[in-house]
Amino acid sequence: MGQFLQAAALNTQQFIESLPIMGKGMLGIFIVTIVIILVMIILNKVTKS
Amino acid sequence: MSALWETILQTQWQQVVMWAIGGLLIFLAIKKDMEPTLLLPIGFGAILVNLPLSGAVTQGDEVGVIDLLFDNGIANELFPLLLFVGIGAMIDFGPLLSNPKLMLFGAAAQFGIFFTLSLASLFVDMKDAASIAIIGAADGPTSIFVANYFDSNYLGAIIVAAYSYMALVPIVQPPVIKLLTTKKERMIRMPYHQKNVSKTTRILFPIFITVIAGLVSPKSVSLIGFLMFGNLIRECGVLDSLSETAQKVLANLVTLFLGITIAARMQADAFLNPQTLLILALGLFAFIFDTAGGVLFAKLLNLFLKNKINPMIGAAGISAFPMSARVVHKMGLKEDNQNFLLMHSIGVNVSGQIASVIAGGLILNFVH
Repeated sequence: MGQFLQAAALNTQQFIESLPIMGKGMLGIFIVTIVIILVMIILNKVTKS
Repeated sequence: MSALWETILQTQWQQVVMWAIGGLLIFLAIKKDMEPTLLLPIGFGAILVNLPLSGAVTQGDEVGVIDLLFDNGIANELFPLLLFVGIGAMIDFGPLLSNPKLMLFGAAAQFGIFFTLSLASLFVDMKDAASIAIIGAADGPTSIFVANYFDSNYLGAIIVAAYSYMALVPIVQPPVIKLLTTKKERMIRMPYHQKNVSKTTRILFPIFITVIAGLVSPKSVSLIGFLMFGNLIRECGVLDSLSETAQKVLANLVTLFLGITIAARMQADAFLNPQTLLILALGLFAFIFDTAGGVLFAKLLNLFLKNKINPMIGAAGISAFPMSARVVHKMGLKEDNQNFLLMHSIGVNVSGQIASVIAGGLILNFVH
């Protein structure tokens, strides 16, 4: 376990590389969600009339 | 007689530990009613594959049935996708369609996934980190799909963690929600105004979502596509018999084989290692932060809204449907016996189903 954690602790470079992915992921999920919300609103309006 | 002794003597202590883990899962399924449809087959499978020289798994040239099922059902992503047809047929998107803004909570509740991706990347390879992070959505099929896509070394542990945390929603979520909210916030009432959703909207919705998700993340289009196909069968109104089959027979049959097949990755030598504990811990972290993401986002919105939202509904933005919605509803009733949050939390919960699949798709796109 100790050896494993010691080896794993060296992956700070990978952690730094993952930060843009985290940012893009959070932004991406919100953008897609807003598109879906707009689609739902438009669908509701169009089919209501 | 000597052959019998030979087999018994081949038993390793690690296998005995796996029997105990299998027994524990069966106990939790039967006695505690925790996701019995999955934990029971997984538990039994864990015992089955960890018997010495078990013929259920491949031994030398002899192919075991569990490995055969794994290669043809999970390794090619067939079982999770078929299960999604059944789940799609079970979901009523009505509460979400009548209040589309609830979808925002589904998105916010995926934050834990992305946090965990970064955290896990400290310990394991990026692709394994992405596979582990998806556990936070408490979405078994998506976890299997992503872990399989990345050919993760920890598939067994990831699946066990995803389904276990799904079963542990009533235990894990309430303390996190309580920690992040005041009693006053938990007592906020949210009147439900039922709005009619036209049949045309209900039919077009799954088609549009599939197109949007397909354009955003083509790699994961089969996930959302199968979920929405199931929903289209439900909503079209002319395939009631197929809808019923998808909801009951198909979902049950796939779940039955999925559970026992997962055991293929629960053989002692692959499962009992420090990484499994790390994965369980990271999965729990992701799950807690997904819950927190939804609650904190609702609190943030409350700073700007005139009609306040009960922040507890944000916690239902994970994929564990309908357990998470029920937990939030019960917590609301506990604080105020006239506070009925079920319809709102159901709306958020179904949005979590969509959002977790989209989050999985985004991860497939971003991680190489």
